[in-house]
Amino acid sequence: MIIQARGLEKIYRRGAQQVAALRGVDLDLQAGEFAVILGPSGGGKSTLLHVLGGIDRPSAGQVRVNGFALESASESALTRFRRDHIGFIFQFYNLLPSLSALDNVLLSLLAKGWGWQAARQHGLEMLAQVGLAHRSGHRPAELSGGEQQRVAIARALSVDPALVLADEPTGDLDSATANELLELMADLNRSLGKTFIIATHNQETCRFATSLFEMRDGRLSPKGMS
Amino acid sequence: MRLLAALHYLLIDLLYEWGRSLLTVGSLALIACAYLLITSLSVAFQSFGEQAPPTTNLLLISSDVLDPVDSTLTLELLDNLRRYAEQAYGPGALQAAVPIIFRHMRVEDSVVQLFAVPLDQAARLKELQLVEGRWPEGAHQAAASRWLAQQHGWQIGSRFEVYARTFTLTGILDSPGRKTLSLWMPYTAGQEMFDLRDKFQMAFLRMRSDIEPQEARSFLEQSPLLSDQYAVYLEEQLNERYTQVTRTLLALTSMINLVALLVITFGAYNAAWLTLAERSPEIALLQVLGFSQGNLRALLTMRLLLLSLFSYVAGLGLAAWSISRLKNASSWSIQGVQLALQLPLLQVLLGVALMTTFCLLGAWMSGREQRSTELAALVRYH
Repeated sequence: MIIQARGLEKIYRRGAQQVAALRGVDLDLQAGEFAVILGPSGGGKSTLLHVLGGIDRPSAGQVRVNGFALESASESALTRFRRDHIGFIFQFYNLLPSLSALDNVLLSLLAKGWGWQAARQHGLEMLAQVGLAHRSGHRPAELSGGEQQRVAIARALSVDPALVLADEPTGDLDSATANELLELMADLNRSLGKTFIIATHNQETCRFATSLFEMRDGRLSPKGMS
Repeated sequence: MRLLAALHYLLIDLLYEWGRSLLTVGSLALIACAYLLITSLSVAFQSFGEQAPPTTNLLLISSDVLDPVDSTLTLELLDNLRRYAEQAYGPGALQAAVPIIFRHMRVEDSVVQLFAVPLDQAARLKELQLVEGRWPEGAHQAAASRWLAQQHGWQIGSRFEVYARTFTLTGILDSPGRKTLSLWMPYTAGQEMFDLRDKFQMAFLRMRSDIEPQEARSFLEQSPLLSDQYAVYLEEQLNERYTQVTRTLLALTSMINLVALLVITFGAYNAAWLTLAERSPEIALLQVLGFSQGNLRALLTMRLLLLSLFSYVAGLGLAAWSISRLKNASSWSIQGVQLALQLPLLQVLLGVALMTTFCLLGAWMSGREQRSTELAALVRYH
């Protein structure tokens, strides 16, 4: 089991008001799954991914990812956990605008302590895997949305993570490009055996899912596969 | 992250935002330049003069003149004063009365104080010490202060032009107190050069040792011979006033230096804070990717150090250029004493050390603010 979460709660304070983003979320996920969490905006999908990825801490409950207890980990332990076990893909790609596609991929590797030459070689291989070897020297502004998201996928997978978390990865793309991206991620899931969790409101994503969930008002529930 | 890789990315980042980087470097360079110029001025003031030894000399000069060059005294006046003093205090009351022909002259691009005096008397009264060579004797011979000889690399026998006449250096001398660029020649040489009969600008007076100098000063000033036309000063008081002015200038330059350093700190802090504020999405991303707080702090500090280093080098170049221009203009003098602007290596290195320290302080201050912001909040809002 790569993820075991029990009774996850997350409460944000906005002034005097308290907003419950997660309300007793339970989740078990096997390694190698392509899990899709469907739900409307504001339903708690991003918060759940942040908690599973060690970006945020739950207000209550326990969560183990790849055997690592996140709720009690120190800040530096969480940093190491993210660096060594998690790959992130965001809706707006979150690439550094000043760096080339290759340099954006290298960042994760350098953070992990890779040497320059080895990181460069591996980075080029990762870009080739997402079909962008020929664009490695281009900056994000010179790439299309779909290409930028491919770079983000290459970056996420470059550190050989146990889990890839994608938050609305196709939210900023047209439907044809979105489909290409989803197919690419599904292929990588199958070929590399990596676990993916995709948070989205795009129903099209469901056809690639091996596990399907629905998230609404901070509650997660399994959804039947059609 | 390895150092070279970090430097590689920082340089890419600085070049990518070249406009902003240039603005930051430019503004910090101006501050560094101001700091270095003020430091140079401060160094010049330090070499400007020291506390002069105690003296009982009096200085006679025309009253109400801004520059001693405008003063006019006569030998007749000195004779009358001698008699007047003897009437009151007995024979030998005025032990010495040394006439001084005084000019500010431009000699080989330096503004020099020129003294034409009876050298044997002046040497005693002013405690002039010959450190090399001999006293000048002829109409075309002169002795130079050590500072003047050093500035022009003069040796005994060197020749130079003064007032369209060629002089030969016969001696190099030292005097306690002010470190002036001065040239000394026999009184007769000055008379001949400036075509003066019995007129001169100032006179050093020394009363007998049993007469208290302040009392002597009051006595002479009340003399009908001087009336309102002439003034008598205690040389020690003039020296004290001079030392006070030097100290005030030093204090002033130190204060301005301090302000410049505070501005550098603020500039560095501001640059760091702006980086953090504008780059918070990117910083959050780096944290998500697994960069530790230590990594990020190191990156921020290196970024600031790079900017500071570039700024300091640019500021140093600008300051050196300004000093060379000012030296060429050769018009920087106070009370006839030329300000020798320079940037000693020690001060330059001290500037590097201070700028580095203040940049680290700026990075630390702004880094503290960053640490207090939760990563989740940064990711959520960007």
